[in-house]
Amino acid sequence: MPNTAFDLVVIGGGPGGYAAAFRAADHGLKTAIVELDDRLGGVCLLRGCIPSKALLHAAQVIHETQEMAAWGLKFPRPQIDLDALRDKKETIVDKLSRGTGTLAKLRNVSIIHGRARFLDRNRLSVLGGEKPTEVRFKNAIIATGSRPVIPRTLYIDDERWFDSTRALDLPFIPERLLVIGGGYIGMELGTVYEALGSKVTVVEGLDRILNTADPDLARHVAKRAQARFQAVRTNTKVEGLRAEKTGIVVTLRGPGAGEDEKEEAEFDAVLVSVGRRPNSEDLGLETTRVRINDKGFIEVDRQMRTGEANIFAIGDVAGEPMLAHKASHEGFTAVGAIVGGEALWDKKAVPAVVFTDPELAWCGKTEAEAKEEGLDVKVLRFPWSASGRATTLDRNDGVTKLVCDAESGRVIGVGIAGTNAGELISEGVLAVEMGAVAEDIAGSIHPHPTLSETLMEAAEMFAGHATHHR
Amino acid sequence: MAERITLPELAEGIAGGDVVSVAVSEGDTVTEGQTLIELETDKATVPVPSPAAGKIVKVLAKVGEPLQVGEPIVELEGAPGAVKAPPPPEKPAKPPRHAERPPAEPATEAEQVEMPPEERGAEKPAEEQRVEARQARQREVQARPEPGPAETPPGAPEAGEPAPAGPAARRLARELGVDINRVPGSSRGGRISPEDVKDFARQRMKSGVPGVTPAAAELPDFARWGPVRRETLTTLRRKISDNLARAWVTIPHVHQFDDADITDLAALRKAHAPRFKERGANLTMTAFLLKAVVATLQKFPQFNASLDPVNGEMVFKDYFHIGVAVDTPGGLIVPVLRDVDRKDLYAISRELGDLAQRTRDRQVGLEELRGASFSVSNLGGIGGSHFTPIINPPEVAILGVGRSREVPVWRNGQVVPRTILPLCVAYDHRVIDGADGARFITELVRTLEHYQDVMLLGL
Repeated sequence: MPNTAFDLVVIGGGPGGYAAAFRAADHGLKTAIVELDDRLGGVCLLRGCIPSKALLHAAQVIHETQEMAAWGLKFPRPQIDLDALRDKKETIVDKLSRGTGTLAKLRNVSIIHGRARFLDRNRLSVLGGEKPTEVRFKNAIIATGSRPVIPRTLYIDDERWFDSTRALDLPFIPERLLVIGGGYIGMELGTVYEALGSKVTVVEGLDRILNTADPDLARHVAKRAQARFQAVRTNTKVEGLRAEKTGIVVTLRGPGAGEDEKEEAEFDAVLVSVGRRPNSEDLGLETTRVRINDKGFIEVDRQMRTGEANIFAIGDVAGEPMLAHKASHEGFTAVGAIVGGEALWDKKAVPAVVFTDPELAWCGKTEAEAKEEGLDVKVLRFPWSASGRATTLDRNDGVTKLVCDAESGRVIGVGIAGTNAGELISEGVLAVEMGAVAEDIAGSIHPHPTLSETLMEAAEMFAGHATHHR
Repeated sequence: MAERITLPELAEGIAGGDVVSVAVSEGDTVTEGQTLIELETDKATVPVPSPAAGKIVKVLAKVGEPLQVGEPIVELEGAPGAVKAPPPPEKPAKPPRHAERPPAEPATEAEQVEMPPEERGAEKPAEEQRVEARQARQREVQARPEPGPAETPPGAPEAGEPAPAGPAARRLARELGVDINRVPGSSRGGRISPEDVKDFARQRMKSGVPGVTPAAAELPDFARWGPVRRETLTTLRRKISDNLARAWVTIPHVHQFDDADITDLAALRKAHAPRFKERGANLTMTAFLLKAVVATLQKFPQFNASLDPVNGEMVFKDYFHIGVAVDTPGGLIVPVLRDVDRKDLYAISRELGDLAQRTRDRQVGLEELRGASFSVSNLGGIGGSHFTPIINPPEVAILGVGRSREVPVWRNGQVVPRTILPLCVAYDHRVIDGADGARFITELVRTLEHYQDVMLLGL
């Protein structure tokens, strides 16, 4: 493919990159994706959201069969065939990845395998085989994503040491698993391993887990985790890891170890999930006017344009929050700008979902953000203890919350904790993005009995009355 | 105890001005926000409000005298908390355009934007607060520079509440060039619907585009002098009107006139026209003109270019797509003849005939109206001599061609009849110098006068 020229080259075939490429091809641009992996889909599809959700589904079934004992339905403990479970997960990932590949083919999007480096503002070299290929482009979108941060003190070269990628590969089920980092990745994978039979301990350096969520939402997850996990230890730091024959010995410092004292504990495996960093290095960006900020994110304007007018950046590499759906929509904005439309990133609500049990989901302004910004808001909370549907599921552990402008009732944020919160949040996104007021939601009939009624009832509270709550 | 009230920073880049009026006298009781003086800066006349309530002990500013930021205006007594001038607004508000605006309003709001909401809430009725918040938001939007590459850092928080409008309405507003923050919302809770945006744009079109079309002057009642009738402008006419107004206001035009002696060219056309006719093409003077224009553009690439003021660059085009103005019953339309440099007279003649016909029938596709690198307006078929065409941006030049006439010409010691074609090239003086304008038209005239020498022999 020497001297190939494209209207658009997308670097990275994740949910941001492939969505952007497909949209561009639909606009008639001659488009290529440069992808390092053999398959399309990026971290999300291959090593993130999708495989973890497949495993969380299995975990949910295990939990539900256990909890059915209280209903008089007793199931024996499941026999876990780890190889079959891993195969099933791989089948799911493969199906979706191949589907993505087919969609690329149908749109005549070229897939170039290899590592891309900019040579200048119109040329890339791609190192795939032995010899680098030169690719010329009119426009480029950098969608290289992110990778886990592994502090040196938390790394050891040992097969009992996991990062999220390795944990998703289900190498074995450790009897005692330590999860370092109580963010969403740690809590989700902890849930999976707990269901599969591990005794899970979570350590978190801050004073609570899932600290990006409002505390009144996160507490529902913390409560259940405390009951099901071996321990959830906050304000606790890990000072070192040491591989021994019997296990990995971990040095902990924090309140759990007595007043700020060190403690050693042994685990059969350790999962490190302390954060992610953007993949902005080794791209040859120094040959362009693309700029990177001190956190490693590529600087972009509201059209996702970098310092180089024909080069865009989207997704994890372009800034927080690192979410697949944010990346896709940023990709649409960038393509819109390239094809000359009046595209602009002007989203009011980027939903975030944590697939723990129960799930957490929020969008727009969190209650904490609204307070911090000094906005005059009215917060409407409808507890799931008052929801008929939640009661039929025996899952009253949840809350639906609307953050509204105190004056107009305009919904500026929505937060949900509870089973299926991830599915329910979309209504909140629509409300915030459309500029709906509480009365709009309260006045829209929601089917009974469903969990979605909790949104309607929370909205009713703006005028002071919810049918099922006083 | 009296405090000196000094001139606050009113807006970025305004260091001070001349005091044009003093609105208070010694002994007056003033409320917070009441105008103390009016200041004429180099940008506008601005009322300067009192930062607090109190009693004027002494007026220090004098009419007609200059006042700089930090210099005292009055001494104010008895104002709790009125100990210092208001902090300069972080995001400078635009100075008001007119001095006769209600006193004190603009600058006061600028302060209040910076105040915590509780303080504001203590005194202002809710409705007023909302209006203020909205105005503040509007100014916020005005004051914000256009997003340039990497100028707006990713994830920078938007000041103020976003306009209550869904994605469809926001996108429509962008496409229509409407600032969504200015659109009044008609739905529940003031939500802005796509219809609201359209109404706003329609309203704006009636009142003229601010800064482009001069504000519509109040029209007299024409019926006083005789019967009149009104016709709604067609969309095409409005579009033309808008584009031409914008081009005329934004581009500094220079019009360069000359005449070409096309006696020989006319003979050449006449000699070959029948053979073209046999092959189904009408060999017109426009076809020759297009070839001659492109040959000249190739020698003067700055006429086949565009200005990119944002990036401070000239965009030179390696293609020669010529817009040809066509008179249609609905108004002027300029379809584009592509790659004129690569086509011969026969191809050009055929395409030109076809394009003009389809344009008159309004059968021409949108794509055929885009992408011109230079335009030609030939009114010779209708009549008239020299005229001054208006450039079609983002092009930087246009050629206007009048009707050729046989005139007596003094040549080699005798008067001879020659056919003379009046020409006018309009160019964008920002990017093309006068000397190049003269060189361009001289070369064009030479090409037309010695068509075969230039085009065939390259002389």
